[in-house]
Amino acid sequence: MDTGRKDNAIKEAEKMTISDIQRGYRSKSFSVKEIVRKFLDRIGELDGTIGAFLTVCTDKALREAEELDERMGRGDDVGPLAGIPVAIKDNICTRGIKTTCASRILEDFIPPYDATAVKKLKDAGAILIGKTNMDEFAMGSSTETSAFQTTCNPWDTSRVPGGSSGGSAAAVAAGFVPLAVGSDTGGSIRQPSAFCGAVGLKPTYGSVSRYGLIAFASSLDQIGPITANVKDCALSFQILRGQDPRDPTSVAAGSETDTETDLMKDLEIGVRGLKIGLPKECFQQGLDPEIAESVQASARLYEKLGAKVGEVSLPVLESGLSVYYIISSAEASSNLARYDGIRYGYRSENFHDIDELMLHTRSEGFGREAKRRIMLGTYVLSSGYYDAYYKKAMLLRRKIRGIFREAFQEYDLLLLPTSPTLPFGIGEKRNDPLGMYLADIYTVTMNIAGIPALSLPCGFSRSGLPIGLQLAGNHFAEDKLFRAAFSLERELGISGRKPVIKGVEQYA
Amino acid sequence: MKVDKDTIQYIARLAKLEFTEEEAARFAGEFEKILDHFENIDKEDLTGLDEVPESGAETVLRRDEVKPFDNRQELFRNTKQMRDGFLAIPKVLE
Repeated sequence: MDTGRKDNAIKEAEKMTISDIQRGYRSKSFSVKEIVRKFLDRIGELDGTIGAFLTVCTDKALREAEELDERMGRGDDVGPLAGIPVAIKDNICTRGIKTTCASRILEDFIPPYDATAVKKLKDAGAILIGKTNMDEFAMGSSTETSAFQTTCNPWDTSRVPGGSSGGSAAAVAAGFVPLAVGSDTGGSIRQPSAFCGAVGLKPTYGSVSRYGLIAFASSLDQIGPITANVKDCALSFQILRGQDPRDPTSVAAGSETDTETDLMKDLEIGVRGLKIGLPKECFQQGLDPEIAESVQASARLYEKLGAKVGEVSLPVLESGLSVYYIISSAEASSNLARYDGIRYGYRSENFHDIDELMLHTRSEGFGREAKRRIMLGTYVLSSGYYDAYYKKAMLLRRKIRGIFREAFQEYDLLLLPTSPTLPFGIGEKRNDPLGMYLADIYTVTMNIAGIPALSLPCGFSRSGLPIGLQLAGNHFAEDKLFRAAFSLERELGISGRKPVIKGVEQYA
Repeated sequence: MKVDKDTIQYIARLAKLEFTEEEAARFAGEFEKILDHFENIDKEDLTGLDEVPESGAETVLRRDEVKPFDNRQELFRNTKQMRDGFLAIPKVLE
């Protein structure tokens, strides 16, 4: 019966973490090409059901895997993520590989350069497997506003994977890749991670370069990793972060910002003495009782592990949501003004003059949600309304930052739900834009304040759907986030649980 | 906040977007709900806050140096048409 260690070692590739794969490479249990082939096979078998990928780079990935095998064979230094298959959200530029933002208007766009995040991953030896589906221009919380396809939640294919990085989170949950990169403007890494049972980090604003990230709301956007466990997330973030001369908002290493801390070193030292605040406003009406129960159970576990848990007030959630939608739409209306059909991207064939060219190109190229945000943003910036909306929102942004600053004088971390609801049904909120916006209530304020936050699986609903909790820290306190998340993950013991996707049986 | 179709059409012109009457009516309804929700910011006390950037924020500048882009072909593959090394675009002036 024994088919040899090698076969068994690779049979369950979908359950392998980055560390597992690295261990396998070190012990020569399998080659890079075998691993990459295994993941590609699984994508080929099951992504018809899930719809996580917009582009799969089969040939390129296998070629790179072969090259890497050769280099490893020679004993070259191949980098900290050597041979790790990675998926990239389709709003992050990849040289020579179509990058669409899941929008008709960029349907044929092939970037002539790599985003800094992509370059860093490639330099670290990672192998780009494909580009993942998303809400159009990252505007949405369900991945349903994609112009191209619907992505299903691997835990229940009648439900959404969350959004906007829904394809990235679904790809990790389905075992298509051990690492997917997403972007988070108001929860777009954390909420899909919660919906799909993955670990997702929105880093401190400025810690990961945005060069090559197609802009939605530049003062809020941040790139971050989605993985199956905390250790992989920390390892990946360590590769992605760092100052970049091509992004003037990226932050230099230094004593204050401390982007050089080795995050792996203190990962396992536990939470004894850490002060964790539970924002009381998060546990009021509108929160699913099963999520409340699960997050509170985790708070009790933290106490058991030696953390000091107390209640804190964050009286900014409701107005924070408005501030977020005002600022992000305003910035989007400006950022998306560049899509005019002149130099690149979709161009309407139906026009007589330059005005019609732009009008028709934009009206045909953008989907309904992108248009809604452009309109909202144009409205709140237009004369007569600027003071009532945009100016007030900018003032409130200051207030929100102040409230967090105060909270972090008393607490090291905040613990709250990631999403007020469990993954909802496909189509359920498609015609209810305000209802969809309200689902972001626990995540947007961290983007407004620029602080880091991580979503961690903390349990399952009675119906078997993943529940995520959120840890938020002060600027550049990712080390504490990872430490606390790692402790809880170990205590909960649910990491590594994978959904059974229809079709798996015939594959096995 | 009452939003009518005319307001939507006016904003659409500013945003270089075009809507049919039905689409505009639908947008007006959605806008009204969203803007009503935004009014919760009026409950917040804004005294003592100003728009000036917080201390610590600084402008990051770099030298204005020319760096040639080495792969012109890749750069221009996203354009619709080239002529003599220039982008050819539809006529914009009469």
